[in-house]
Amino acid sequence: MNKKNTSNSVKEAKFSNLFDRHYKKLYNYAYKVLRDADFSEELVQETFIKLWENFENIKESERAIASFLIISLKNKIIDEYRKKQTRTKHTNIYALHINIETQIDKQWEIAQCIENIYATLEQKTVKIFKLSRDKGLTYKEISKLQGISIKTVELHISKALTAFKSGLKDYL
Amino acid sequence: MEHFEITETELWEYISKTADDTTIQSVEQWMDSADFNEALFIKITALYNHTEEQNPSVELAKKRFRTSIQKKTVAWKELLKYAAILIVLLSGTYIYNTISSNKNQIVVQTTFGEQKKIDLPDGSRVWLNASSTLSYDVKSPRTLYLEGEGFFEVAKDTLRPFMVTTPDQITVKALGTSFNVKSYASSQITETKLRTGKVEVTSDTHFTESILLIPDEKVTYNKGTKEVVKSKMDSNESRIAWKEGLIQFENKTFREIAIDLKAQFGQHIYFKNIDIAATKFTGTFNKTTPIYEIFEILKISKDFTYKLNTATNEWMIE
Repeated sequence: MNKKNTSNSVKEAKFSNLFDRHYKKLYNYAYKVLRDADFSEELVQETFIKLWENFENIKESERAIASFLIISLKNKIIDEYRKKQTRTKHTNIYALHINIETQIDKQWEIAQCIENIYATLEQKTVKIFKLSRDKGLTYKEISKLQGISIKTVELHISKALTAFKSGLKDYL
Repeated sequence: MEHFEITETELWEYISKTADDTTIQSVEQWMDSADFNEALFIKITALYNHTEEQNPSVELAKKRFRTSIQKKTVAWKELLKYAAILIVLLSGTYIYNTISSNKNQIVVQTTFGEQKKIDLPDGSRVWLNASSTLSYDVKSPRTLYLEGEGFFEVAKDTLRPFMVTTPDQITVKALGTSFNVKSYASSQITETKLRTGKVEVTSDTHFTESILLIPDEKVTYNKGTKEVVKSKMDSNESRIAWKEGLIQFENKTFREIAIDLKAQFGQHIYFKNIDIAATKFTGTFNKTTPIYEIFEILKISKDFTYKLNTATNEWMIE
């Protein structure tokens, strides 16, 4: 009994780490496809529970776990989508299925692409771009916050835009 | 002619709604002018949309996760207590079963209101509706036994027929097709609906001739009267509503409806008044609609009273 408990708490600690590393990314992915915060949260939760239940059968490598998470989530999204969309006709089920898959695969590609672009940018540029994009701050506010001139802020934003424009050119 | 120059950073300010009035004005003037570069505008807008990032609370998610994991473990411990009793109860049947079945038997079960999707080893797919059981032998995944309701999407394999048998010995045989079988033990009726392809419905005990179905046809077998009826479905009926999270009934007696409701909500429905039990209703509800709301709506066309006996968890209809 005791042994089981310790191993469970080790497992919980591992999962806490996995949440830190993957939760936001998975959530954002689900959100981009589903456009529904509650649904996205629910499906990502279920995905982690599935991982918990199958943890012993999966190779404990970062890659194996990441791909298990993303594949499970993708399947859950497809199922969810299907439930919602098949209201019309069952005969269309295969066409629909293929459509959804390509659509959500594309979302995933874009998410990966954006992540890669962020990785190529200077830290400072990422920070300034995110202040503008995520926090909705004006250039003036950013310049005050960072103690730099508005011109410099614009330079960073411009750099980021150029990088995104070329990196995402297939999706814009 | 006036020329309007807009930098990408200004455009970004405008699209991300962080621009001040002067910038907004100049961007809008640019948009109305001949210099307007629509492609760029669309690009930056798409870029804005793609880089959207939600910021969910990871800590809250962790907390929720921990609670559901713990619930699961606790539930198991609780179950273990009962498992011992259950083993004693089952051992009688087990001995009987071991003669005919073996360890390779796979059983998938759903409880009240639950649905499951099962991928069979041969590539076929089954959607199992609430309160149902599907079992098969790993060695012969195309011979299944179903109690309750399931929708089957069969992988084509002309050499090995796909067969589903129900508790009342009705067998549905198919080759590359999709169909729905409904056979709840408590229901008088076993029903097979065909969506695509071709199926053959047979029974060793109840009827001698096999029945062939073409798409949008159904066959019902009445356990009481032993009657077998083949009929064409209208478009409403041919929907497999439960697969879409709906509870649907089409001109069905309240007694039949009660069986579906029991499968969904796990509450038995008793009729004190035979008349109401035989009344036919038509309706579609979301699976998440509470049972009393369904009663309220049915009441509109035929008045009755309903009461929940909390001790037995049963509804009394009068």
